[in-house]
Amino acid sequence: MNGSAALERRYRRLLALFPADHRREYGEEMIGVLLACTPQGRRRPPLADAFDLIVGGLRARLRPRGTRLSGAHWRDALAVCSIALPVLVLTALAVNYAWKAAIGYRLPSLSGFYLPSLALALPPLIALWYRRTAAVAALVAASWFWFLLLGSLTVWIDGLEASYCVALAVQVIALAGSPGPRRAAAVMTWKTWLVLSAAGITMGAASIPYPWSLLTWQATAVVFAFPAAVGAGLLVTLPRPVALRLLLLLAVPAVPCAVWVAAAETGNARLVSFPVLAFLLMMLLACVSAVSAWQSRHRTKKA
Amino acid sequence: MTSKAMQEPTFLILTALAAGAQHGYGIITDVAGISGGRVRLGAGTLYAAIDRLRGDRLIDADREEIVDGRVRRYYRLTPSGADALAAETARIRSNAAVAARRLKALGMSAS
Repeated sequence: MNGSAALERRYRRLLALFPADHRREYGEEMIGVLLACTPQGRRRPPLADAFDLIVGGLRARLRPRGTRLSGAHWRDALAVCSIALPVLVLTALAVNYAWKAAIGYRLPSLSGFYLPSLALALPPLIALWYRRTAAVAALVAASWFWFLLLGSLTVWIDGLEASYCVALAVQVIALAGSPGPRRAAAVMTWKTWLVLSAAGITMGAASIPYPWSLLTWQATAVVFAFPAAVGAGLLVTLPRPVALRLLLLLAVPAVPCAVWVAAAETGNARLVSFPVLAFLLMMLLACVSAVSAWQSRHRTKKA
Repeated sequence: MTSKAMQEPTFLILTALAAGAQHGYGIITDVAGISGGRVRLGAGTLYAAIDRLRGDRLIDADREEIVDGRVRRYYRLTPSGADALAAETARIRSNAAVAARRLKALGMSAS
């Protein structure tokens, strides 16, 4: 074994003190820098470098996991989510409202539509200046809406309203756990805004009754094509790890409405049991956690 | 970030990147130059700082090159990083101005 290979091997041994995600992200770069900094002909790391790596590795292991780079993708996804939710909901409602106003139909009720929309849209605006205040405002709005809804309903709950409830809770997490909408604006491109607006317009248009009826396979194709198109759009316009996490976050509030639509389509009931929805959400969260844990283990093995 | 005083290695890394995107070895040599050889960053310290600064969005990866079969990643200052560096520079300058005035009152020079 020549001197350079022996030196590299010893540096790699010291790098094993760093957490796997740190090694995966910076390991090869660090080896390059360490070899470049070490005088030619040495077979062992200088004492100062060895000490620096030992202390650095232990400190990296002691740092809270959320402050490492691996958490940055989640923080970005949460930041984009805080913008994506209001954009989707407000665009869909604008289309729905415009249609109802155009045909002189009874306009939606204040509590059912505008309050949750404002509760979703205002906190990110506040977060442009005061992020923590925005998270508290979102929490108050979510609690208020839950109180209004659960005060009037006991066991049965409308799927759309349940989706609002969950979306408001996700918004609280998004604002509390991310750098906020300014970061989202830096991550998103104009194409991301276009994808989200197009998805909102499609959701709004889908709520308009149309004079023809779809065959089952056509309805099924539409139901699968919509999330697939939105997912593809986000994957193309956002960094892939951020887009995947964002899709998981957006899927959480979509579940109650999807279950409601499925129940209505099969003619079982217009209203879905709240405990069933709660159970489905818990299952979804468990799946997300399992996938996240599996990914983490998989990466650790690779590193 | 701006409310707390910045650690010297962090300040020097941001200062090095204020001149343009640099890779790890470039940052180490630039920091040594800026500090007059007083601060020599080790790779462990440098990459712990880089990880934290990327997490705080003060710096970001710029581009990668393969040199001698090894990846060489360049880092650059983000607008938030430039703001943080400007705030810290103003803080240091303000403190130094007070210190210089008081030394002058004692009949001493800061240099």
